[in-house]
Amino acid sequence: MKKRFQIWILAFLSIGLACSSSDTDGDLNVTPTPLPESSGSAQIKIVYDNFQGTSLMVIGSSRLDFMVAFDRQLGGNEMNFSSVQDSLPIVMTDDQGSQWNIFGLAIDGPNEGKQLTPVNSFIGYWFSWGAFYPGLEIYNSSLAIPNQGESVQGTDDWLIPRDKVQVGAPKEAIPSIDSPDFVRVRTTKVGDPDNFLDDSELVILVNINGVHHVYPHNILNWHEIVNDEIDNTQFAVVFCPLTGTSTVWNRTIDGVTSTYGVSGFLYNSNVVPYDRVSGSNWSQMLQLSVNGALKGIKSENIFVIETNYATANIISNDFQQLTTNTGFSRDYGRNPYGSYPTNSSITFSVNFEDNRLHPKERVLGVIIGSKAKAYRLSSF
Amino acid sequence: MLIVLIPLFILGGQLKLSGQACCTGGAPISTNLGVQSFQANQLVLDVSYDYNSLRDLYAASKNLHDSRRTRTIKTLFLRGSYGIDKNWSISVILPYLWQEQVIRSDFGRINQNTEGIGDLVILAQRTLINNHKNQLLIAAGPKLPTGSISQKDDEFGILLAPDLQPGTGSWDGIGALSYSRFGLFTPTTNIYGLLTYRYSFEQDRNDGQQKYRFGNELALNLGISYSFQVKTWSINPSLHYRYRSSQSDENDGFDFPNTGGDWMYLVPGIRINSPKGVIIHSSFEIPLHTDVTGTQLVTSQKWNIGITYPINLKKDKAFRIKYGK
Repeated sequence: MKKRFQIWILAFLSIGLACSSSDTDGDLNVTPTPLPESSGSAQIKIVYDNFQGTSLMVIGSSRLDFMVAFDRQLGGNEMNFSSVQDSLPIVMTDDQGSQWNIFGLAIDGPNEGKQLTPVNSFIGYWFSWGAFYPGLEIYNSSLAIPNQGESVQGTDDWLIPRDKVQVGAPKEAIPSIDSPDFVRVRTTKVGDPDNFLDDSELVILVNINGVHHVYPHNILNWHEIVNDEIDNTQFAVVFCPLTGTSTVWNRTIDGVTSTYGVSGFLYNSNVVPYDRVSGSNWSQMLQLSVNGALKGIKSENIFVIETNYATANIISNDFQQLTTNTGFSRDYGRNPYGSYPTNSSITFSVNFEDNRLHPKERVLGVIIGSKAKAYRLSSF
Repeated sequence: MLIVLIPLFILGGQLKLSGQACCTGGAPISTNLGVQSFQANQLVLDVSYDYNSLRDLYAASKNLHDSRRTRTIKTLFLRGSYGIDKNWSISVILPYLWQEQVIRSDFGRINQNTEGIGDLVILAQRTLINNHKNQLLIAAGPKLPTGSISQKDDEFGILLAPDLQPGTGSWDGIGALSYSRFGLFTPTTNIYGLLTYRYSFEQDRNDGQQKYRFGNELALNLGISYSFQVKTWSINPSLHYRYRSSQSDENDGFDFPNTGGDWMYLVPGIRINSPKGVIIHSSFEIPLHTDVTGTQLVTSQKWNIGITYPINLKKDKAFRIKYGK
């Protein structure tokens, strides 16, 4: 009897131990390249490129952690620039002697007051660009393109396949910030101690008419959307923690001002905001209403810079920083997604996978027409 | 015997095993297995109702005190157990669930409801030791994917999240080990321990486009019960500690955010045994400690009430033959 009992115990234990080995850290997929180090050159570089018939330039710095893209055409002329170092927000001069800031504005010289046209672009995790724009080109890369993808057709009143839309959370379970509270930060790192950020923490910087608002990722991780306003321009900051993408949309559409909320849906692992007036669902990365009364309407995008807090403090010495006084009790010192921003897991399935880069490498995607091109921080 | 079992329970508690986090896809089976001894040729029917109210939003072990989001899971369990002989018995457990999720925001109240038959569990149970001092039982069996995993959002027809579905969609394995020590301090005082484990397999969702796997789950119950008589009725109050540990779910092979964690509860309960063998039982869970992965709604209040009705088939058969009924 005693022996039989021992056998039962051993059998039970062995089942338990065998089962416990199923733990995964989310790194099942072998990726061809590691996540790049955040260090690099503090030099600001300018890259000229031609994509989809548009002559554009991308200005960036790997250590300063920013990339922005502008059309080189100004008043029918193709402009030539040289980068300027250690003078942020000034990043370049043109061959006529004007200096230009990171927002694409000439601040002196013969072109003073002129504004370059931003190219539709924003930073996001590499995998998300591969999912939305299969086979997209990477600037200055010799890596073989694994697939060109196939066209994706909408179904069931959606401009995207409805059965590819997944539920990440219930509607409004992730609360947007609709009455944002700001603290004015006038000099480097002097602000509300409750809102102090490490130099390396990522933020979004929005500039409207010279007024700068800064939105830390550590707050956006919990809310994803901030409905804000500067100088009567109503806009929504939309951030997806799963794709690492930040976009800023004008909230006034055809004369009607709305607010955006988190629908809880995900498409290609990317947030699907909904506007609360029409109830329409939007795809952040497609920048398009994909379902509802506004289906087919494109978002009106506002220029956005994603960078780290140290660089944001150099770009602007007088900005309004979103505070944790959001009206919600959240643990803003902690990322609710844990190590997700740096591990190789992709939580929700995507249409296309592209392993040329680490899935979480942050790249600038430039979108022209229906095509996109990726620019890596390591190119700067 | 205790020398063997205590390390087993400690080891079990340390294993980072699995389970469903804030809310289960399917019924809370692991805490409702009802592993106990059955007499030979005895059929025991049990009907119980489980009410689980999740109103506390936690980030790791911190209560966020956010009342915007709640969930209620009500489950009716039908359980039939049959004693094949003095050592072997078999149990079948069928749950029926009603789930309601509510989000209250400045833009209105959003409800999501699902209901349906959950996953059927079949357990074979073996009595290893049964004497006046000790009882040791072991049980194992499959959980069948009988519950629906295809319920959709009313407004858009989008497949609801796995944890809101009545079933998990997977064949799972369940094991349990139960030990009781009788008459430890007084003749009617017993201590007991129950270790349960559920191993989950992967399921296909969205017509095979998505592979989802609920985390494995381990639950450990350690308690004490006492028995006293009130006229011809036997009353058994009990108090036990419950530890539940759950792995994160996996979606397409990767950990799914905001699932998995560790929970501890204090569970007072009572069993009232009538002279005719009918038992009324009830328990109430008081959360002691919560440490979840990410941010999750957790149980704020949970109670269970049920009635057990034993039928001695051999006796009834003899009765029918003798009296021709």
